[in-house]
Amino acid sequence: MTLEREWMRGAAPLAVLTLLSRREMYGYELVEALERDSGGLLSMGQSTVYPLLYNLEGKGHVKAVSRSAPSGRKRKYYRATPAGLKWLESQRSQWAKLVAAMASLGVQDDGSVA
Amino acid sequence: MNRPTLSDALRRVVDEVLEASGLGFAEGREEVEEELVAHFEDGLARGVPEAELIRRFGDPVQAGLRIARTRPRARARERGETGGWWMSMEVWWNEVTRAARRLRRAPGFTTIVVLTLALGVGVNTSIFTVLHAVLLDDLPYEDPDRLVRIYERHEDWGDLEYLRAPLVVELREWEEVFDGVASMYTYREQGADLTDGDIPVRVNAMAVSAGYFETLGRTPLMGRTFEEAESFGTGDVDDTPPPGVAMLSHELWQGHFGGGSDILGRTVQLDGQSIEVVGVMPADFRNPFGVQADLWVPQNLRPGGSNHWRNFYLSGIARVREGVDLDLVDERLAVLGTALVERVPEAGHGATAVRPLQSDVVGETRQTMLWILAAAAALVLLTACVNVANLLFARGLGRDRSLALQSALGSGRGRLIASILLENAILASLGGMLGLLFGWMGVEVLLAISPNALPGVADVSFGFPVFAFAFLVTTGALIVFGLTPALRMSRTAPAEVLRSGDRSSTVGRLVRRLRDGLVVTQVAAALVLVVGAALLTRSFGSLLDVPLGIEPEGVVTFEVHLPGMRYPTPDDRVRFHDEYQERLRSIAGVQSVGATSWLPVNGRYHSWSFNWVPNEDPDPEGEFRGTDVRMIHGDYFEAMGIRLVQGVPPSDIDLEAEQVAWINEEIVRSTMPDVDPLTQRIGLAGTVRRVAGVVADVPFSTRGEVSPKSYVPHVQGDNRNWALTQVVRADGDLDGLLESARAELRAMDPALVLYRPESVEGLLGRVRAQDRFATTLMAAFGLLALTLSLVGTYGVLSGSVASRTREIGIRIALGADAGSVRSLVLRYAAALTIPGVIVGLGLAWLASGWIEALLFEVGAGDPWAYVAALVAFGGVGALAGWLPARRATRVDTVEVLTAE
Repeated sequence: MTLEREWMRGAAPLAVLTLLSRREMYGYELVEALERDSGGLLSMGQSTVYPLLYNLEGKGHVKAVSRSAPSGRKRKYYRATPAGLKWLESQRSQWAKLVAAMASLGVQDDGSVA
Repeated sequence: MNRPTLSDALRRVVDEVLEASGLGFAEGREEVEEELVAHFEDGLARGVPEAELIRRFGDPVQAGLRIARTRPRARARERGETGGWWMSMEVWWNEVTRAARRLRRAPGFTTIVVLTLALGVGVNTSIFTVLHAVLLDDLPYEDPDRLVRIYERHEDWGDLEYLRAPLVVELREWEEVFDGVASMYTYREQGADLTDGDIPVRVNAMAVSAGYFETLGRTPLMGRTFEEAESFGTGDVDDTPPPGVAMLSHELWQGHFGGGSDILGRTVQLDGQSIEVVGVMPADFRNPFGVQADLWVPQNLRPGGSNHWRNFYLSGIARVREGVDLDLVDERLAVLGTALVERVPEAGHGATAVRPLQSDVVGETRQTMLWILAAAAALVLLTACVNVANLLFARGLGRDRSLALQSALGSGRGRLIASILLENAILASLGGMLGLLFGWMGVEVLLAISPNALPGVADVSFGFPVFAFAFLVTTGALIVFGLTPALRMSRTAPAEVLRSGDRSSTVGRLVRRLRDGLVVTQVAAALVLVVGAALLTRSFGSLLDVPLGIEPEGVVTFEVHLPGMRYPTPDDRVRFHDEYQERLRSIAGVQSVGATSWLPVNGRYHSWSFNWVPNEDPDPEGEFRGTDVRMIHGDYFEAMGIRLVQGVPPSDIDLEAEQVAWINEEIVRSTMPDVDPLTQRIGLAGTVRRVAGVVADVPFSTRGEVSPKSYVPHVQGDNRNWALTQVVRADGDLDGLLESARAELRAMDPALVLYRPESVEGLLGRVRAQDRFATTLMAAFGLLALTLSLVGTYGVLSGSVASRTREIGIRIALGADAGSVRSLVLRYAAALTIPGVIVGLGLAWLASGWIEALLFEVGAGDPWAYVAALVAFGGVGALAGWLPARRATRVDTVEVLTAE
């Protein structure tokens, strides 16, 4: 199953930043992690990951550092910045409120309506 | 950076992303590339198949466009920059490099637009530079609006004449009208041998009256000008010793005398006579007309000699009193003239006419010619602008999808407009720079092909204001037409454009009409130019066909001037000419040798008068009839190829036995049609001469104008001191002949100069210069406009075929054959060209009255010129339609119909 475009647009930055708040990653790692950790739900077209990263970088939510990977290849590692973590925090709390609001409307975790 | 190696397929994906992103170096293009390459390498390293990697990656173009929006900001953040002027500078610079890259990707479009702009700008810059210098710039004298040229007006037929010396003296007294009056001797060029050391140099010496420089309002660089007593005063001209002074031009002073300040007071020899240098004129001083003199000598205007009431030979200039307008001048001159005749009956008449010096210098025909050429250049500019507009429309239509995509991805209208403006600014700059180069080269070319077509006084220097004007016009067109696609886009929903695969849906009807209208305008303007070019070409053809009464091939001419000090007597001079011509005849290849006081087709000269009574001796008190007189020596008629119609040539007559003259057919026709001319006698300058022969008419202008003309043997002239031009007819190499002629001259008298050698064909080229100038330029403009309109029409037609591919495909699928598809396109071609041709014909017809002044023996409504133009545009329509029509018939139906 995949998400509809509008959901994806809102969720993708949140998911990426959540992953990068745990540890720094380079592009392909991030792509894999998204696919694996979200059970495929957030496996967006990989091509959109990079613009998304640049966008977060432009906003100052992530920072990129070029370094050699353990394999010896040069990689660009992204990590969340303090500003990014702060933004993530506010997004999460909005997310929680949204889930709570939905729950109070009777929308249950499995999508059924009570 | 080492470019990592990927398979071609993966590499292509990376390239597509980068291409669509349009990132420049400053935006970290290489870093993005590095990251994408690493992405694929990582995927491969984890064992993901290549095809799967590509599938998972998704649409590279979408990725590129998204990166284009996000990357520069990220980059700025990376550098710790958060905005400010540097940030915006970088954004601008990025936009510029992207625009440049877009243009590089469309080399055909860029080249044509830049070339078209450069041609439009260049042509106009050069023509208007010349026009400005000749027509609009003030003459380089003080208060030039008050300067006039004075003529005498012939009371019977109103023709303008040179001035008589006593009248110049009179005019100086008419102070209520003039602040200054002066005369120049421009009747013909005065060459003189200047000796300052051993070797003489030939210089142009101009005799001017005292007050000449003052009237023009120019002062010498050093020294003085001529004093009153050096030109005027009581006593007879022959009794006053020559003043023996001269003023030098800056050029002669610098070039020949080294520019030393000790030049004043130095004595040089001029034609063997001692002359003291009294002044030097500044570098920018030029005579308003006549030759550009190397030096000036004072003209003695005291009575006697040539200075009498029957000799019209001086050019007059005057400075009108401040505040007196030309009408008032005419009025006062009429009154003063009448009073003069009452006081001095031998003056005969005192009618004068003044013309503003500027328009006199330029001349009416030349003025008309330059304005016509300027109008033609403006039409070229119009067709160029229209062409550029059309090309921009075509490009705009082609870019609709990418603009729509950018717009859909959130690029603001401002940013879209800015990116298009930048593209156009680059085109304008390139076109402008190349146009500047073309303009500069154009001025050089115009000056090179215009000897004698432009007045010598005009100082043609490159006109930056003109360039700026042409540049602004083209740039303006570029911006206005270039912006239309962007503006249209901002009003169209991007989704609509993106959804539709067929570009035709986005082609607004209005834009299509506008483009069609532009083509019609272009064709009309070009047609006017082509008609003009055809008319002038036909006219020039007629000029070349004018019978000149001479055989110019294989004839060279040159002058040899004999200084009076070393050839003091008439016999000395005749002996010289006899011996020299004998030597010339001995040169291998020479057929005949003669000499004349004035060459044919070279304007009027030495207009005199003769008396004649049928079958009797002439009555000196009787009626005067006009004739131009030519002094001839040797076998002039034979050498020049002038046909002897009746009588005998000079070589068959003992010239010492009786006074004779040859007359032309025009005199026979106009004066003595009913008698046998060979039995007649005419009175010429007080001498009765038997008519020894009648020769064919030789026109005095390239337009075949003929005047009554008499030829008098030089040996029978009064002082036999005419400046003769030698005329040599020979087989073979004329340059070699001139070398031999020089050697013979050196052998006779090493101090003499073989001056102004020229073939008669060269002379004809020179006197036809103005006509050739106008014809060449008009033909070039016509050709240019024709080409531009071909490009424009082709552009619209091929664009139309491209946008109607689907429709054409459906037609073919429904059974339309190649012929009907072809005719569909050709009909469109006709619909574009025919209205343009009709409008153009109308405009050409309206403008033709104007060009009539330049035409010779061709009417402005000359059907051949119009037919030629029609054929040319039929060709343009067919050629512009043919390729697109062929392409239309080859539309692949299946491909078109399954494409969406």
